[in-house]
Amino acid sequence: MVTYTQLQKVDLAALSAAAGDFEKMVRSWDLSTKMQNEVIGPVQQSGWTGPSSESAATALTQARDQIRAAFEEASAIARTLRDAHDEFAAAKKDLQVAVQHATEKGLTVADDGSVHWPPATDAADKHDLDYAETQRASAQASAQEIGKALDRATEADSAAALALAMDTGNDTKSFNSNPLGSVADAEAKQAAQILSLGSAASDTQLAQLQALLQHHSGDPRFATAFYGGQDPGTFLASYGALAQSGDFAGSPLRKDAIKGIQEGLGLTLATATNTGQQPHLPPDWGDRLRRAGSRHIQLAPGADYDSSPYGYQILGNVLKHGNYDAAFLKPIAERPSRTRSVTRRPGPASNGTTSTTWAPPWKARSRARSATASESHGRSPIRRRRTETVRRYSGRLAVAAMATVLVLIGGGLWWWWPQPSKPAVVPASACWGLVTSDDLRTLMHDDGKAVKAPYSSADLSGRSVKAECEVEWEPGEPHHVVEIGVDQIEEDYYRATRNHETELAGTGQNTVLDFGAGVDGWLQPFGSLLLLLRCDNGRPAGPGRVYRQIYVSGGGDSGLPERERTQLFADVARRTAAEVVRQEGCPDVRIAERAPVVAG
Amino acid sequence: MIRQAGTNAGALRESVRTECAQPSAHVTSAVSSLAGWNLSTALNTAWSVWSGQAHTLGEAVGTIGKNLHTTAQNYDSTETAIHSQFAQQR
Repeated sequence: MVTYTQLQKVDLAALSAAAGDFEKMVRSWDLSTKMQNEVIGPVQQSGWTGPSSESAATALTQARDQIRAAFEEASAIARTLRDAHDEFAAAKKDLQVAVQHATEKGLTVADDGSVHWPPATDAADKHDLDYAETQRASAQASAQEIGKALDRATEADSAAALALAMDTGNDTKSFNSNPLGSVADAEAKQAAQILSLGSAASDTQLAQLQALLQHHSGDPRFATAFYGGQDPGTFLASYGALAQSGDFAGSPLRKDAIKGIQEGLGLTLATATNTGQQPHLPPDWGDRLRRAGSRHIQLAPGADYDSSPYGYQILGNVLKHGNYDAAFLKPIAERPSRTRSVTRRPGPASNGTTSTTWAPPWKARSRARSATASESHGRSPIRRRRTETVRRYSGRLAVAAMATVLVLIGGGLWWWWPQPSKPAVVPASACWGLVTSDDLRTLMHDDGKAVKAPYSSADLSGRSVKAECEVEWEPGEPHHVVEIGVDQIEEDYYRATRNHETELAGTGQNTVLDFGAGVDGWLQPFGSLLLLLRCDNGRPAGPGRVYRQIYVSGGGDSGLPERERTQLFADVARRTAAEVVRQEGCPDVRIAERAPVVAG
Repeated sequence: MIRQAGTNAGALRESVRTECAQPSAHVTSAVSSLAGWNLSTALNTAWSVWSGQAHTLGEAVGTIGKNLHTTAQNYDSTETAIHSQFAQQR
């Protein structure tokens, strides 16, 4: 543990100079060239042949390889020392800032880093009953800030020491041709090592893992080294076992740490798979992840294979966090759709029922994911969709892919947090009266969860460019019971969307549905319904907005089977379209009397 | 050419020693200034290992140089001896 005094007083100039020496050595490295051009080359050109020349060639090759290894090792040491210097310097700066904050608040920081507040001196403070409590809280906050700086330094110190040891190895006779490379690599290795312990990881180790992921999730080197050093199947098994242990340990601290780790893993995975930055994981890692995703993952030795969760069910919890590259997500989104039909198998302890108080780890809960990860932090998919423009059309692929992944995975999401039982509250109707209380009860299934009062932004008269409605779970969850949107859109947007959906239909990624004359309808791969229709009634809310886009999604946080949910959404979509046509008077459209039957 | 290669290997040995030893002073200072930190101990050990490795490499390259020289000398001697023997035969 780096102490307050150590960090405050450390002189990093020599460390920087040492790093600089190794960097200079690497930059000016000419030993390999000299060996090749001035020693090996002349020998090869001398015409020397026979057994003795072969012996010489062996020795020359070994020396050449050692010179190469020396270069690799020097490079790794240079990076490690530079990383260590930079991290120490940053931690030291954090400490200085923390101390400054404390001082500004009138607190004093002792040599051991403890924070103290002054006794009350003036009359007002003396009579203030809360004075001590306020000061204590202030001091505690400062102490925490100081502690974070010390933790950062300690973490870097530990990682740098490990990295150096792994850079050089311990063989004084031979350079290490495969050095670790950097502090980031060392920290990634540490993190992966803790994760590999699975349920056996101690609370302290979990706190360390959480901190490592939190601090470095945005660092491509760390992220790539962390995931690249693990087999995807092993990663899923380790994380699954670790997550499961959070439920059975009965430790709130452990459970909190695991939640933090889950978020850190997601953010780190997003970084590691971001092809826009270097380094990143190679494509074959994603291939292996997809293969692992479609297999059952045994979380403990001897666990029943068929009752073990699918890899995608475990992965779904990780993918909830982070903004992912479409190139990574799209293939994943395509994969679970082929495995989902079998992920709904209840585990042996679930008895095939839907418990209202506790979801066994292996129980596949239906959680439709119509929102992206960023939306899970409170941003409505409806509001997001509202900001889309044709110019951003290409970006929709990534959003759709993310949504697809989450929804498809959500179809069998592996969820282990105990859910408190809540009395169901069912509004009489919702969304302009188009969603009945029976619909809501169906969507809520027998989950026992309540929903919030419905929200709608505008009516369907056509006076607004956007009309949207949401019914959310109570307590809040990132995904809605149901959400409906009606957008007035221009022709460009209409064409782009229609072309895109038609293209997806051509590849089997969505399904064309018949909602009547003048209406295009699709069942999207993540269980949402999308309708497009022309409504040129001469009074659009915005210029040129003669098309309507209607979408219905949500409903995934209950145990309702997907086909029933989708069928219900199709019916709601039909009702919505019919109501739009009725109120706005769309001359080119005739909505069917019944919703199309959605194939199972 | 073999003789030249041997000479070059001798020079390379010195380069290995010199270049690999460059960071010595600053590493020693860093070990001292970081006293009490894990990195201090690790850097001290790493430097020791690195120095040993560099020494071993330098020795290996030096030995190659010597052997190449010996080979060249032996080749010359053998050439001279054989030439001499054939000359006497005439």
